[in-house]
Order: sequence, then structure tokens, then C-alpha cells
Amino acid sequence: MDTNVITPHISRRYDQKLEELFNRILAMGGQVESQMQRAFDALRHNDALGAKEVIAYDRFINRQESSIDELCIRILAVQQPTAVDLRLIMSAIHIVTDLERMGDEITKMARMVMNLCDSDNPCDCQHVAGYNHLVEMVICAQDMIKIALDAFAHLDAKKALTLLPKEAKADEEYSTAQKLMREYMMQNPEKIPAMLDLLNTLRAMERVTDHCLNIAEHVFYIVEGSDMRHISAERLAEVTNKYA
Amino acid sequence: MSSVHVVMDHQNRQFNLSDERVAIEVKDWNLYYGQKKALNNINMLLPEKRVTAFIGPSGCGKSTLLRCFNRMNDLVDSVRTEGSIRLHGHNIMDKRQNVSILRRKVGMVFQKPNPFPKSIFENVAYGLRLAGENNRSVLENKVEWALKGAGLWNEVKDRLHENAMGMSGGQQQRLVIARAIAIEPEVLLLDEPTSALDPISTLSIEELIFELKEKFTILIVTHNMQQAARVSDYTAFMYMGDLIEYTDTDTLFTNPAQKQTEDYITGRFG
Repeated sequence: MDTNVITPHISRRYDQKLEELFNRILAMGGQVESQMQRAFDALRHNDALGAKEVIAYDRFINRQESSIDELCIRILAVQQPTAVDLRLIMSAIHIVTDLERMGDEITKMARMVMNLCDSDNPCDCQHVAGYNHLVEMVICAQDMIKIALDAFAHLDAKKALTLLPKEAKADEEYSTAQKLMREYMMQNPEKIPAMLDLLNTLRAMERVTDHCLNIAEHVFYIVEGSDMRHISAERLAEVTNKYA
Repeated sequence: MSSVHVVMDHQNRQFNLSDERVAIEVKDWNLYYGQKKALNNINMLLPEKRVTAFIGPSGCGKSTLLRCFNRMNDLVDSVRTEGSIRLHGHNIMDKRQNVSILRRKVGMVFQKPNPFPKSIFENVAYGLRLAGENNRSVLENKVEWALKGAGLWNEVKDRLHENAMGMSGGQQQRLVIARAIAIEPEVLLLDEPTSALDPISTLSIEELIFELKEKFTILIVTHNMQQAARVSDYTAFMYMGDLIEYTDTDTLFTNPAQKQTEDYITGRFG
């Protein structure tokens, strides 16, 4: 653990368990990052086989979630953590759920690639309207995953807070793309099935950015002990100013 | 009855006891063993009919503070005190305070169960007899009430006249609690009440503490932090004679304000 927030305990066994928890969450995060990259590659190269592998890999990520949950339960039962340790365990349970759901969202992109390649009228993903918006969104999501995992690895509340404006920008990007694509569909009704797939994928990437923000909120909770979910805009401004 | 109710911890973070009635008010309280200062300027309000736990490492002064509430420290020659402790507004350190009466109001249970070598019935009736109660039916009613209150009645109702020394450790501790509550004190001091007991007896004492707070103000000193978290409404963390943090138990165990508290409750102290 490379952080000043979780300092060593008297019990080395306790430290080892927390270290193991950290490492396993970061490893799971790394798997999600790599799954995202592989799905993105499949999208750019119309690679149906690569997309299929991404979907198959999701099962592995799902298993990680259950196994990390079990580890958290064992730590809760045996060590009865308090204060920052308790916040870490509770947040870890949420973070692995977010990572698992990110994996699910990424498989939606892989499914779209498979649909576009396998349909009766296969087309290059790159030539579908809205593709550029999707690429922007994927790059934004990749950036946010990296920041979220870094913020967790170092329990860095300041870094976690940098995801707030990024997520807001992703929401805007999604909304703009949605509007453009709706107009395109009205003008090109024959493209509607492919466009719906693309919209669904855009939505999935927007959800990935939401999950990254969730992770940031959990990091903030571990460090500060206060919940930044559902707080007023004024309070949020106060919090962000503190770290500015 | 006084109703002062805002307490500040060391970071001046306020927590509000405004819904609570105050049983004990400790003000500017210092205690010395000879030259050594064992308690340093303690200020706190202890709410009525609530469980307040005192935690901290050995030698931090938690048992010394607990023993102040029924003036057990009077028995130690070298002890000198400053400040005031008020029980429902009355200064218990007042020279005119009758200590026997105070100890009737503030009962105490120790780490090791200490039943008298008498029958179960006589153990519980002992304090009542000392207080001048000799009416048999009154004694029977009160002994039954106290044993029920201590969760022991069903186990001993058919052998009330057997010697208490034959009971198990957990039963003996509950008997001692029954003896303490039989005279209906206002405050019950528990000094490590379960540290000599097995886990199941410990749980039954903890359950009992939870039920007893309906009637009594309970102050408990414990080394077992999980126990403090389970049974208390408020928790005070002490270190080297200082009251470091005193707040509601949920806050203290999930988000303590002081680093020393955090390090202690998370097992990083030392």
C-alpha cells in the first residue's frame, strides 16, 4: 500500500490482509483497463474475434468480484475493523461492484462490434455516424479509469476530486452525441439498427465514467470520512476548494 | 436536574447532548497519586440512563476516573484531587457528603466476581439489609426483582439458598450485578466486568448492560474495544490521564476526530 492514510497496525496479519485486499482490487482494476483496451482495439479494427474474447473475459472479472467480497467478509469477521479501516473495507465492497459493472458495460461495446461485423450487411464501425463521439467517449473513460485506480492506489482524495469535472464533461459529450445521432437516424432510417447499437455503446461508456466517479467518491470517503454523494453544490464547492 | 449539553472535543468539534439529561458533571478534574498527576483537567457530562464506555491503554486513568464517581479513591492515602464532580447537581466531593450513602447511589462491579460466601439470596439481600430493610416479603420481592433484572432468576430461582460460591463465573458476575442493582442505585460503575469471563457469559452480561440502561446510568471501563462499541451509547478515549475524545460511540468508532483515538481503536497504537 503506497499511502499515508493506511498506516501499519500492531498486527502484521491484519496489515497483510489489507495489503492483499488493495492488491487484488488494483489487479481487478487493471483487468478492467485491459478489457477496455481490447474492446477499443476490436472496435477500431472491426475485430469480431477480439470482441468475442472481451465478452468471454468478463466472466473472469465477475469471479474476481465474488472472491474480493469474500475477502472483505473475512476481514470484517476476524479483524472487526474500525474507523479508516472500516471505511476502507466498506468502500472496497462498493468499488469491486463498480469495477464488475464497468466490465459489463465494456462487453456492450464488444457486442456492438460483433453485431456490426456479423450482420447480413456488415459495415466498418468507423463509417457509422457518431463513431468519433464514441472514440472520444472511450478515451475519456480510459483516462478516468486510470485516474480512479491511481486515486485508490494512493488514497489520494485530491486526485479523486479531479474526476468530478471530467465526468460532467463526459455527460455533456454523451448528450451532444445522442442529439446528433437522433437527427442522423431520422434522415437515414435504414441505419437505425446500427445506430441503436452505437447509442447503446455510447450509453455504456457514459456509465463507465459514472462508475469511475463512484470510485472517486469512495476514495474520498475512505480518506475524509465524509460522504460526497448527494451533497449540495455549495458543500461540494467547499470540499473541492479545500483540495484546490 | 441540570441540563447542560454541548460538549466539545479537542478539535472544538461539537456534538450535541441536548436530548440527554445529565447524570454526572465532571469539571476541571485533576487527580494526583502523590506527586504524579494521574488525571489531567477532565471535563465531561455523562448522560443519564445511557451507557458510557471509557477506553484507553493500561495506565491511561480510566479506572482511576471511574473510581472517583463513588469516591473509592478516598481509600488510597496518597490521592489528592482538584475540581468537582456533580451527581445530579450535588458535589460528591463535598466534605459533608456521606460516602456510604454515595456508594448506595453509585454501585460498582469489579473485574472479578466477588460474591460473599453466603447463599444466593443473602448475597442479593445484603445491601438491602445494610440499608435497614428486614421485612422478609419486601426482601423476597426485591431479591426476585434484582435477580430478574440481572437475567439470573430463571437459573437460580429453585436454589436461592445454595451457596453462591458454587455458581459459574458468569453467573457469579450477574449475581454481583444483581446485588448492586438490588438497592436501586442511580449509577452503576462497571470496571472491566467481563474480562474474567468466557465469551458466552460476556455476551449475556453485555445484553444485560443494554437492558439495565433503561433504569440506570451505566459507566463501563473496558479494554475490549469491540465491547465498548457494542454496548455503549457514548465513548470516551483516554490517554495518559487526558480525555482525548468523548463522543457518541458510532462516531468514535467510524470517524474519530483525533489521530490518537484512530490509532488506538484501529490497533496502531504503540
